[in-house]
Amino acid sequence: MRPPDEQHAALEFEILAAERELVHGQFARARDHLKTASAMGARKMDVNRLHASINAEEQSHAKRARLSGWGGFGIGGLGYLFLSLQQPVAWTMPLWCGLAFLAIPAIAGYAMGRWQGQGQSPQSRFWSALFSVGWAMCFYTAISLMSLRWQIGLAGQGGAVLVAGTFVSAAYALVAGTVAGVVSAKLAWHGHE
Amino acid sequence: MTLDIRTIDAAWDEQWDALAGETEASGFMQSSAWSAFKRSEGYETPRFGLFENGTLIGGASLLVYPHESQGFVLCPEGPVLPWDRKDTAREGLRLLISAAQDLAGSLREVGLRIEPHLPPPAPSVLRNWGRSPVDLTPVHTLMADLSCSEEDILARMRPKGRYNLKLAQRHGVNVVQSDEMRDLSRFYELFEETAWRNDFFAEPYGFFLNLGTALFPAQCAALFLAEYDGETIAAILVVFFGRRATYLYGGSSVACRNVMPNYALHWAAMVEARKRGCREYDLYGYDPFGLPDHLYAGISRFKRQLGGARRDWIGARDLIFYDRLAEQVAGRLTLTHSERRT
Amino acid sequence: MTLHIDERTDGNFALFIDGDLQFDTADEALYHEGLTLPALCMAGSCARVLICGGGDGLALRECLRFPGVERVDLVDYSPEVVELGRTRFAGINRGAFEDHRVAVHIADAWEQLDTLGNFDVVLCDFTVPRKPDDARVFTREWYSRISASLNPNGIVAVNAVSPQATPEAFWCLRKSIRAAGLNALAYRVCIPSFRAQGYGAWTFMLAARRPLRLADLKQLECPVETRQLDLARLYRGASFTRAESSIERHVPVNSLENLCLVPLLLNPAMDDGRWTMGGGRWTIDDRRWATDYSRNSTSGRAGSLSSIVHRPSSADPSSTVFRPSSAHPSSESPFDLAPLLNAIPVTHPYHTREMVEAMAEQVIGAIRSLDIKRLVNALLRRAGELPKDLVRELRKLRDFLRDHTPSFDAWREWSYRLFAALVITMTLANTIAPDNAFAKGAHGLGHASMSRGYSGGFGGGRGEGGSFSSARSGGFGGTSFSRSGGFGGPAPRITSSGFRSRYSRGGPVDVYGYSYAPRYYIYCGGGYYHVHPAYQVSGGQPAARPEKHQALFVADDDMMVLDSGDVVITLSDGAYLLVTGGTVALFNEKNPEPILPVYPDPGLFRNIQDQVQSQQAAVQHDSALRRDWLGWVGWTSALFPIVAEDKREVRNLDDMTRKLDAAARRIGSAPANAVPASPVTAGQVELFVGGYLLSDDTIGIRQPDSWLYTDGRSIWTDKEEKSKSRPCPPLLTEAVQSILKKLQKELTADVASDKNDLRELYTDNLQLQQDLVQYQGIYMSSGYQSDYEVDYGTDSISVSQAISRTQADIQQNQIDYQQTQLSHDKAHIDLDRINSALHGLWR
Repeated sequence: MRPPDEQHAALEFEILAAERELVHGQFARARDHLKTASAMGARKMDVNRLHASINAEEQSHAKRARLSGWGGFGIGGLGYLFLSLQQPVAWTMPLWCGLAFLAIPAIAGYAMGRWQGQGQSPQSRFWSALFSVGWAMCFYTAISLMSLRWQIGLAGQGGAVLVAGTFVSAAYALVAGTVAGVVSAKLAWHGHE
Repeated sequence: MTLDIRTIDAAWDEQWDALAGETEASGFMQSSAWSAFKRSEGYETPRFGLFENGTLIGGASLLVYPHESQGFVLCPEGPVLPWDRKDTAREGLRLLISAAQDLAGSLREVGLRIEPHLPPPAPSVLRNWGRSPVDLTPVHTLMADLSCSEEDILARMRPKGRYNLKLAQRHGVNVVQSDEMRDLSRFYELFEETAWRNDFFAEPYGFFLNLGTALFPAQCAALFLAEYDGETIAAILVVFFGRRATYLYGGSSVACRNVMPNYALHWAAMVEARKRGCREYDLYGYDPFGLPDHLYAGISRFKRQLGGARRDWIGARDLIFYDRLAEQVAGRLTLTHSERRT
Repeated sequence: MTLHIDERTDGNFALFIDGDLQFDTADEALYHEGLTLPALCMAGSCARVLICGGGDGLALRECLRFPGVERVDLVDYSPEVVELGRTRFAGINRGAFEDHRVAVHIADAWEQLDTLGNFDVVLCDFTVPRKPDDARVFTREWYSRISASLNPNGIVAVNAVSPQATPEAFWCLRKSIRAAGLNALAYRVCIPSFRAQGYGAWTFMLAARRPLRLADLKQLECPVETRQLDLARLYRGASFTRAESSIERHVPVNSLENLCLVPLLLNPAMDDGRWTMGGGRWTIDDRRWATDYSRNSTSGRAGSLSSIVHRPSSADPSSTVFRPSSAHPSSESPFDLAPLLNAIPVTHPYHTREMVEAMAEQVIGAIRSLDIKRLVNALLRRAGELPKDLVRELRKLRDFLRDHTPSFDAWREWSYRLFAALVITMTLANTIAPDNAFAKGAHGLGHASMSRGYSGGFGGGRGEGGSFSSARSGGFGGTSFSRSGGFGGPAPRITSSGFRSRYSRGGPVDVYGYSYAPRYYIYCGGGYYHVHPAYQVSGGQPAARPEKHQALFVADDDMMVLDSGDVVITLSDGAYLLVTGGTVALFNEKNPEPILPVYPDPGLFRNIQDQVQSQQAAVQHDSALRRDWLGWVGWTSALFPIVAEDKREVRNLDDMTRKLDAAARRIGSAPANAVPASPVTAGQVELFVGGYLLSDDTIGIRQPDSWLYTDGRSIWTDKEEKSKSRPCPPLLTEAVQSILKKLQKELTADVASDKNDLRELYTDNLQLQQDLVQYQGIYMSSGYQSDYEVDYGTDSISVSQAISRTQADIQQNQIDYQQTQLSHDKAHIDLDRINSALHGLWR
């Protein structure tokens, strides 16, 4: 049996740890700490209060994580909308590549990662960023390609054009999505881990 | 004088062909064999006889292409009418129009198109007929007279034509006459090659199969094939009907141009036409002016060597059935309009 | 129906019905095994089989050798084919008709079906339909009836059409089968003889009330041996890409009230939405082609006929529809029918798109002879069916026509919608009959022009363009190129596939992408720096080595841009003008050195620069688009041939731009102080820009600093005395002669053609005058009764109307006569001068 002071300090520590984990979105760990605190005889009211805020926070995190998918898509979409003001050739290829494959996916991925919080595993942050930004890129590419090809004319080669266009759209989406995913998974909470 | 018009069926074929074949303003497209050919091409071929006091004096073999949409009732190389008897011709034509209009009523056709071989100017009986956008048969043609002796026909050719004919004979170009279906493919190969070379539209093989099936057994058409060194180097298809033989299609390979097979072919066709009682050989289309971009610019020089005399026709004329046309136009206008509003 | 058996020397033969191949003994087993065996294998039972069509007995043969078949009914409407099946084909169908299990019905399957009872397997072996009527046995209604007479586990096999050559028709057929409540499974079979006829990969379709899966084909177990078909691989032909099957969504169902299969067979790749079905007829859905056109549309009301057929911009019909024709500046093209003409469908296998378009242009010309009044009245009789604003428009048109002589312009100025609808209707009416494909008349469609897609163009005729060699006016000398002629289409643009295949082949191309036979010019560079030593004026440089240059771009029949950037204007077979560096020089094709410098006429330079610039703009636009495209997909060129092709195309276009740039620079412009040539005076004939045949048969050539004269023997300038003349070089004499001869030939043809027209117009006029006198006589003798009925052609109209119409005819005749006379006189005077020159000094 620890002396009461020491026990009180440990209890306090567990409560604080639970609160810290809650702030960082580590709900499972927060619950663990709370459980320990409760076992150590923490006041029921404290435990309940903390428990409720963990639940509320967790729910809002889950909601944010759900919305962050659309958020990432929106940021990516806005970025690409801006890019579509002129054709890649007019941006010059290096600048365009930098913007389209690095800057925009990175911003969108970072934002998404932050929104989702540390509660989500890096893996799920990666995939959701990949899909959100990937789709944005895919639409941007596909629409641009379609409008261009429409102006050039298909000359009876619609099938071949479709194949090439689909391939390119998919490839670009994959690259941009991967960048966003990596940023979201690795960089968004890098400093806090 | 009482004129009446009525449909004449196959029992009248012989009498009709005799009449149409001897009418100068008419031609093979009015023959019953040609109607049979057109039927196999999907046309309906109603035929009307014009009777004066019970005697067949004219009429028209018509072509109607049944279709969802509207077209023209066609009367190529017709109608057969006593054009020199103006009032009879006018009455006959009126009867024909009303017959065609009845026909059109059930078929939605917007007009009647005729193409009699009359020299210009168009007779006043056609005053209210408009000039068609397209002629089925050439407006300017060369007609070689066959009613004289063979020597005279030769004498009427240009010297170069005679020379080239001799040349072909000296080279031993052998001309084979045939009305066998199996020779059609030999003809068609050459025809297609020529069309490709000279960049004109070639009728498909099926067209000639249909044509041969209908015209060969009726003794209305024949192929003339020029053979040289064991190969067929040129071929023509000639239609014989009544007073006139018509050179309708031809083709030759580039290979043995210098042995002048075409002259030998046409000569053989002329001789055959005389044998069959034809008095004219229609070279079917030429450019009388030497316009560089004329449809017949290339082949005209060759045709001139064969000694035909120039003949001009008034071309195809349309009579519009305004109510029918209005119906079609209104349908189109209403449709575009209602779509616009939706 | 015509039957033809094509016998071949190797003992094989083929059957054609109405010119369409039915089978070839060399590979008929592929077809008949493909049609019958999968159905027989997949049916629950195959005791009772029905064959519709197939009178040749070959499908019958396949059925009879299949175990379990107890009775086969064969329905064919052609006794001839069945007779052939019994006799001529007995060897190859193994005497199928002798089998006791077979019942033959010579009847129309459509009529007979309900009388025959129920079946386990139905084989539809019909010929591919050529007329809408033939398509009855391909309708939804037909398949529902078959479905009704099918035993529960029964199956139908249908001879379909090619999904390769006619995809829309193929998917329409599939949709029709499915619309009848059946499930469908299609599989392709490659039949070499069909392929040779251009029919493409062939397809059969299985249909059943139960679901049909690809796996069923995979697991096909056939109790009999096949001769040619590999049943184990059949399933490979049964999958279709999503892009292919998506066509099914757009195509209509073939049904009795909408027999669309034949039109779809005839118009493959017209599935870009230009057509919709309405009331069982093909009609134009103008919404779609309006989008194509909206860029050029000033009214901006996309989606209406009136936005295609331009109308003056105001929306109030009373102020726009009734503008007098002078209110239209001729430079502002009033409306463009091109999109309309593009959308008219092909209705028969013999026709091509080009033919239909050429026909439409002819029709526009022929509409002149239509009686507007009668048409408008006939339309107003149906006012109830028409939209109100249109009726208003028509009424005003009628009122206008009451007080004015109807003229061709009235159509165009007063009711565009009516005019457009009329053009479509008349073009369709004219193209319905397949024979029009073979029209032979000079007045009709030129064969050559049709197959090439080039058409003379209504109103193209003898234009009044800036003429370079102006004895024959129109463009650069020859007949001018104008696709949409008098209706002023949009500026020519390179079509997307314009250069792809042709550019690098060596032949020059024109703005429409048509290529021409390669042409080469050998010369030492132009300008008067290196004129022929004999005429060097001053400061001449030594002539460069002769170089061979290739024609790159044809701006007009006579003007070509060479790969060096120089421009050549062909004057005759032997002579041309070379334009470069602000100079013009005359060449004889036999000699690489220029014969003479010619005055740099500002008009000539302007004209050439305009041509080059408009071409350049078109090329640059195309190139920029493709570059943007490649910006996206360029890196995949190793993977996709189409991208690699685009890369090549961009290089070609860039090359073209460079060369056109070079040309624009090289051609230069006329010196600032250059003055255009004064118009020719009487007795002179302009042979080419700066070259004249003078009244004394000498040739005057306007040179940069003087006039040079020649009579074919000697030359002298206006600064010198004639006595000081030098001998004329034979090259110049030759060149002049060849130019004169070419013009002589062309003018002779023009004069002859004009003369012919004049003669015809004159005799027409005589006839009209005679008629007029007669009508007036009748009018008088009838006691001036104006409504006395007389014959007008085959019409009967009142005598006063007959008189006024004849007078109008006479008036039109006189106008035509005067115009022809003018053109004839001009040509004739020039021809006389050229003839006398060629008979005299230039013999």
